[in-house]
Amino acid sequence: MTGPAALGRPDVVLLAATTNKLLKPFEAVVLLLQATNLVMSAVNDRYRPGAIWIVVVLGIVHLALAVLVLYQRGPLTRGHAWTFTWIAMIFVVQLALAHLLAPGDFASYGNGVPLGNYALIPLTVFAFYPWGGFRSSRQRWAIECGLVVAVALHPLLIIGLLRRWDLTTMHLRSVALYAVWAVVWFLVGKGIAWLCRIAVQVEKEALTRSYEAALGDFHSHVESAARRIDSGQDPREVGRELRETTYQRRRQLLLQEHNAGAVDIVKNAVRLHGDQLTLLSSPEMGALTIPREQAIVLEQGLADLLKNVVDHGGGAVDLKFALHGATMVFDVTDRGPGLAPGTFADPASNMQRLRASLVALGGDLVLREPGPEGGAALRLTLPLRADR
Amino acid sequence: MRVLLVEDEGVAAQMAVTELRDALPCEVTVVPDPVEALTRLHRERFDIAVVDMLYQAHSVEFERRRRLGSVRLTDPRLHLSGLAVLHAARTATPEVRTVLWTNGESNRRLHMLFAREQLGCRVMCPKDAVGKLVTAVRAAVDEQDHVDPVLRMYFPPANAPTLAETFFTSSTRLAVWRAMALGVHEHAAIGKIVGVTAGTVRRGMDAIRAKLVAFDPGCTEDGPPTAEVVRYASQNWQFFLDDTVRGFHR
Repeated sequence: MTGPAALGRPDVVLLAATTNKLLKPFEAVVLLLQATNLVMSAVNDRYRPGAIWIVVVLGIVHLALAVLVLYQRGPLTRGHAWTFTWIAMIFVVQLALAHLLAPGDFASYGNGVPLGNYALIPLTVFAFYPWGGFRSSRQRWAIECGLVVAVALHPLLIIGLLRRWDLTTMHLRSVALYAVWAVVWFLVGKGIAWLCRIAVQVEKEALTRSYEAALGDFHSHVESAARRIDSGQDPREVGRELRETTYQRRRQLLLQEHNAGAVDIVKNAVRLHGDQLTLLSSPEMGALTIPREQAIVLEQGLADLLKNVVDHGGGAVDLKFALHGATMVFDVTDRGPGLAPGTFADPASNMQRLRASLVALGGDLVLREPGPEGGAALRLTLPLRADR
Repeated sequence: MRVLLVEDEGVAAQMAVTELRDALPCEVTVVPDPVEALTRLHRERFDIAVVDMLYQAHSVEFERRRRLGSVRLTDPRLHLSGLAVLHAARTATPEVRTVLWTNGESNRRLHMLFAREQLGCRVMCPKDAVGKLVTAVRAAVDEQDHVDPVLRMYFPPANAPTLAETFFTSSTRLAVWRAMALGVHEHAAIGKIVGVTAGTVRRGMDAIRAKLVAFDPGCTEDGPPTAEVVRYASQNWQFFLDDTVRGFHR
């Protein structure tokens, strides 16, 4: 075994992909919670006259940012520079709002710090943000510890600036409580990171098991075919069955990929029929890959259409491909007797079932006018990704 | 006619030898390893070279070293594939005709485009079809283009960007691709290998992904660019770390 597990390392590609997928929605959630925290502070805390609107407006800005990062990339997924800008902004906002509170109110009741959650909530996400990557854990731990300490002690600095370091027991108690919560929020983030690693490990193990199962099953089919040929069965018949099995196993493996090669999908569907199917033209698709969700529907669609060509269309097919923007267009034309519009439109037919799955992903299947050589002409369209 | 068959799978090689000997007056030399094939091409004269693309023993050993982090972009030799044999056959003895003999699996996709685009390979034949190799060899002897319809699907559609336009426009960006193919995914570490700052790598990622999406519209434009570019580099490391590709584009 030469895989990453054998070397005692996490699968960094899978881990990075999973973490990045988690970070994007979390960014929006954190900004939403910060917005809520600002509005709640405007309602619950005492501010200087007129300052309350500044807090409310800040809350609305955070809400707008939360909506924005749902559709655009947020600071964490834009890289370290943006992330550090966000951290700096958290400290600045907390410091500025402390100056807008009613004089003497900041952390003076011994029960925590006003707007404390504004800085604590992002700590959860920073706990599983890949500082310095997944391989330099020492660097990551240094940044994380520094961040927790800075967040926990920041109120102390604010009190010092506001009261010229005239600290009361209540102030120290508030800061101590706040520090405890900082550690708790950070550990919650570490818990999420831990779950993320478990998810990656489980996904990897499931993938390995499915490969092993597919290959083991395939191996037993090959053994069985060899024995059947030895016992006198027609090798051509055994070969045909083996081809069908190979197609099914290849299909399983192919559709495990994050993105499957467009050519691999078409090639697999063509290979299933062996000599019974002749390609009259090749769809030139180059290095195009197709996201898994679309690949599954396309693979099934092409398999159904090519089976129709073999069963009813004379076994020769003109297969054309074009990419219109981000939409794949496959034209499948055979040389058979053609397909009646009524038969195509029959709701119980394979065609309409396929059409329904294509429509669900923004695509379609339409019956076209046959060319001068007759036969059935169908157009399958499928966007490479669903609209948001 | 002397045929050099470079193929590491015994059964496939044996079937090809039988097929060629039954149909053509030829002497077939089977070589299971690209390194040996390069030596034979320099020492002996062949009329035709039938070349498989990837060689399991060589790839497995290289992959082991890659995962251990012991491969360097400056190593004297990177991953060796059929591209090296195709190139050697063309340059060492120009009269040798070449046939690319491959099933075109997904990790050979970019190799096939490179063979066509940069090495001018015009005869391609799938391994799994009985009888097609003879037709391909005859086409090569007659200096005719012959690409099996199934393999022709790997040709890019009209107006699609070429490999050169996508990956070989800048030596720095190509080095970034190679660093990621080595298994390095952090901007700072990539920058260290390439010789630029982490910020330069990070700022260049959007442009790298934009070119990738134009080349393969199935790649996503959503999310952070580095994740998508790393995924693509990891899937196609055999190409980005190919010794012949490096020889053409440093």
